[in-house]
Amino acid sequence: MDNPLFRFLYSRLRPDEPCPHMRLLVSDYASGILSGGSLVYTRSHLNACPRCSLALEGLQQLRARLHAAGADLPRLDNAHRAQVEAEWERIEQAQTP
Amino acid sequence: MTRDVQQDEEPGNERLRDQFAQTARECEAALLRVALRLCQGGYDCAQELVQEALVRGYEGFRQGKFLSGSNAKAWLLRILTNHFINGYRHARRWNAPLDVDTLTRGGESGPPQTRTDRDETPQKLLSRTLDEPLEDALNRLPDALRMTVLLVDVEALSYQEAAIALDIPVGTVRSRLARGRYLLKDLLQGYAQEKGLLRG
Repeated sequence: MDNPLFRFLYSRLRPDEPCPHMRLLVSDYASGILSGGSLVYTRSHLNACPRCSLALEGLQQLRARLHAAGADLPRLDNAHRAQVEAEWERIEQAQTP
Repeated sequence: MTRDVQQDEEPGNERLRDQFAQTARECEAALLRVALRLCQGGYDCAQELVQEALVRGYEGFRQGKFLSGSNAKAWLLRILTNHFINGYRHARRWNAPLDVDTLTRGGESGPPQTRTDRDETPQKLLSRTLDEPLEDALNRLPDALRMTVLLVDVEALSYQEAAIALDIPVGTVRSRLARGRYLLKDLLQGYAQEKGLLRG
């Protein structure tokens, strides 16, 4: 962080924004898809960087909210279901020799 | 977990229909959840989008376009998102804003291209029953980012499955997902600050 350019760039970030080079890795880490060297590197960076660990925490909370939003079970209404069945019938008739 | 569709050698109409209907039932809720959010809560729009996806899906299924062993949910979501991109989104018929062309000389609204009351009620219902700030923030994401976040974080598709559903490379899923998540987080933070739940 001795480089003045880096100091300037980091001063523009909010405290919960990840380091610019870690944006994708933190997101992938939250998805649990990292492995091998990238997992080791990301873990060690997260342990040392409060900014990135705060960003990770935010993404994990967001994922939990999004996951909960997928719990409802909407259904097709009767009118649209009947339309689907009628269309399926039409397709069968058109494709049957 | 969605069951993969097995196609027999020479199945009859009834058999094919039963197989596809079973898959459709298993995927219906997921298709509607995605459709409702693509249509920004528009109930009729979402129902029609899913209806069209199931019709086109059956057509493709009978033509052997669905490969046995692949993920039926990802395949149907691909049909749905393609139809949304090619049809509804371009036409903008479900969420066209009220403009001067829709007003009559007297100032009252003319034949509406805007959402109907039937659309509004379930939209409010969706916002009330689910996480309202989250739904609002999702609606404000660009379509490409919203679709990626919906498929991976709401519908729990893997990056590979989302790539199939959206017909884009896995690397693009990865970058869109990251952008979408950070943007969504910022929007929710802004909302919380607006409501005084967080300090600015």
